[in-house]
Amino acid sequence: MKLNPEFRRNLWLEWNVHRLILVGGTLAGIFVLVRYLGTDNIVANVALAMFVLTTMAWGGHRAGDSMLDELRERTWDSQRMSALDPWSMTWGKLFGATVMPWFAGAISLAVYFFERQGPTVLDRLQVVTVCVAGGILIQALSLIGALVGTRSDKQGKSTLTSWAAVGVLALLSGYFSIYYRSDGPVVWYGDEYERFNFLTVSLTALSIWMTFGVYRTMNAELAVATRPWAWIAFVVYLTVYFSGTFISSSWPLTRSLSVFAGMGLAVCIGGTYVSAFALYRDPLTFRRLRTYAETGKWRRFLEETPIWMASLSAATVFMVACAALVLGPRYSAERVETIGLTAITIWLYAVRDVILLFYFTYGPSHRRVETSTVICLALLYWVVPSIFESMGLLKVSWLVRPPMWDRPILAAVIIAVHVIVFGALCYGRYRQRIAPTVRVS
Amino acid sequence: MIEVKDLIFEYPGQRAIDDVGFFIERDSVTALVGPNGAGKTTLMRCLCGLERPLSGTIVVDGIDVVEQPRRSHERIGYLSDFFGLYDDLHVQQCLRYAAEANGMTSDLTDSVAQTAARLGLTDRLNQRVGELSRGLRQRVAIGQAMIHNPRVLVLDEPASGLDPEARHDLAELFKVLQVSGMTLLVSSHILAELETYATEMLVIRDGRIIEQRKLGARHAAHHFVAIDCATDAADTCALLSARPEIRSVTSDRNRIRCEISGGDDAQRRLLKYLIDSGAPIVNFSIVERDLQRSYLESIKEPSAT
Repeated sequence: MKLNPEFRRNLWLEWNVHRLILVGGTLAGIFVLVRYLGTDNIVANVALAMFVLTTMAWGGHRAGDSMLDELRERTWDSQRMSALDPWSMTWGKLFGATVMPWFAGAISLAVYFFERQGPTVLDRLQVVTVCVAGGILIQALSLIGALVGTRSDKQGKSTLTSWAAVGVLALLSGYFSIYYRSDGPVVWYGDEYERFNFLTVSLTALSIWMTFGVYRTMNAELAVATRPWAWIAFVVYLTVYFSGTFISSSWPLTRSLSVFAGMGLAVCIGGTYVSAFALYRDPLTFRRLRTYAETGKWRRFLEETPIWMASLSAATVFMVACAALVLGPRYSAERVETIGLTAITIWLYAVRDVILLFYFTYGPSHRRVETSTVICLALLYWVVPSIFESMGLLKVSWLVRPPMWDRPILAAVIIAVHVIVFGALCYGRYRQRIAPTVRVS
Repeated sequence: MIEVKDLIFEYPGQRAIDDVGFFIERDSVTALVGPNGAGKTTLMRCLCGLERPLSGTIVVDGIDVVEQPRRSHERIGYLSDFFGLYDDLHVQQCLRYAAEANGMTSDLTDSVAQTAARLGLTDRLNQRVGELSRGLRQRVAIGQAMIHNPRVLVLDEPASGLDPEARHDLAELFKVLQVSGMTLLVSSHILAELETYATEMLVIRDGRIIEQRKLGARHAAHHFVAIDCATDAADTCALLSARPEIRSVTSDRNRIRCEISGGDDAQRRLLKYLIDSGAPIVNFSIVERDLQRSYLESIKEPSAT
């Protein structure tokens, strides 16, 4: 059988007798010590802790480093020049660079499986499944973080994307831990599911999505053209998944659709912010897209459409759906304002904030773009309105942060004005720094 | 072998490659030369599919690199100017990995041995790359780029940091590769070395190709002729200036240097004309232009397009 060259290369680097003896011996020592000192099931619990420590923490670190090492050692170009397909590169790195953490994890899970007293074999297998899915999820997230950082950080000192990955991870952990610790079944689209079963399926599905995410990101890095359908599919999946926790099977269709559209809008707006801030923003994106549009190269237009733009486009569809659904006969004029116009305002806020991000992206310095944007957003959302309010100038503060829920029409108009003003500023900077192409000298 | 049309590549606010087009013949060794920041590395990276241009087409051995960059990699080998290697692997492992990663499935051991022999690395196969000298590392990197026998080998500053002996070996290797049917595109600032193996010169300045010419007197469309006169050269200069095949004339007392269009026939006719006209010629010889001089002349000329 022909072994994946990337996997084999990682084996050459990672897998050797000394390390096997060191890792195996250390784990064996810990488990023997705990057995003599501890009580029932403590070995199994320590084994789970060792899995988290080795496969999740160490493995997550190794997965990200497998990519960052290529940048630090300047070997990434030769990998990009190879004929390896993106999938081979993906699993070669994901499981090759983490082979020692998985070796340690496998020992830990085996110890857990045989030492745990009480649960049935199936229950213990389910715990093992959750652990494996969690390990893959974290390693895949770490690798995605490193991969998306390659464009903006050619030296392999990526920090922002790693922190973004940690942030997403913390959110996910919080979400799943709430589900795991709560009592009673999970109600999803009106049906009840056993909580741990639901967690197992959710985590497994998410780890598959993340592995697919690594594959798609690898496609982009290896210059394999793809269209952003996978990202759209992912946000639709999240919309369907999260909507299930709110929608009841007894609800009328229009109400369910309203919640679904609202959730879709929230997920897509969230996706827009995450992708716009975390992924590399090519200052020439609009120039390229305009060139493709002018020359009728629509396939390439779609291939180079950034993820934030695809996400914002999907948000537009959900925003229109939100606005359209409340126009139905079951809703009063007041609901049209509060739901439909609020959806429009939220969408306008996202557009304005992305424009602001690009305003700084087109600035004279490429450093600290995200920090500058976040500071500016903090001023707009919190500092400036609070100052005006403390001075008793409530209506003046509306010019910066209009009351979205109380005065939806006014809020939509004011944020639309923001979009126009910031759009003009951003376009001016674009024309000044990006559009007037000069020849090198 | 390499056909580039209307190629444009931009950095923010800066056009690094400006509407470039050229054709490189099969089995040639082309020297890509130009000042720092002229766009050499960007052009090479575009040719290898590592950067996507704003517009234009690049076809290498019949494959559209812009549309199918991965497929083109089977036909192209590339050595970056700032290449890296896996320091913890042995030379043999590095070469084997490069071969497999480039789609080779059979005769791997033979390929590794042959490549190592070509590069003088046979006795280093079991040594860690991190323990090698700069010159040997360069050879390993070149070995990785060419082990899969690509049709086109693109090398960005391959001789930088090498000692004279290693540079000579490299030049000999390039000649062997050319004879074996490989097309090479090499950028370097060391023009004297490029001259020993390059068959063509591509001059880039400000992101534009300002000249592409074959190297060697037999290919030149025009030549420089040095003429020594027994007396003052003013009358002979006047005779030369009246001839349509003469592109330029400069003189310094008894010595004249002129540029003549055409090959051997044109030179013979010019010599006969001067003698028939009674010019006091004591020497008439072709001046071989070296790469350095050709390059400097090209760079000094105003942009061709």
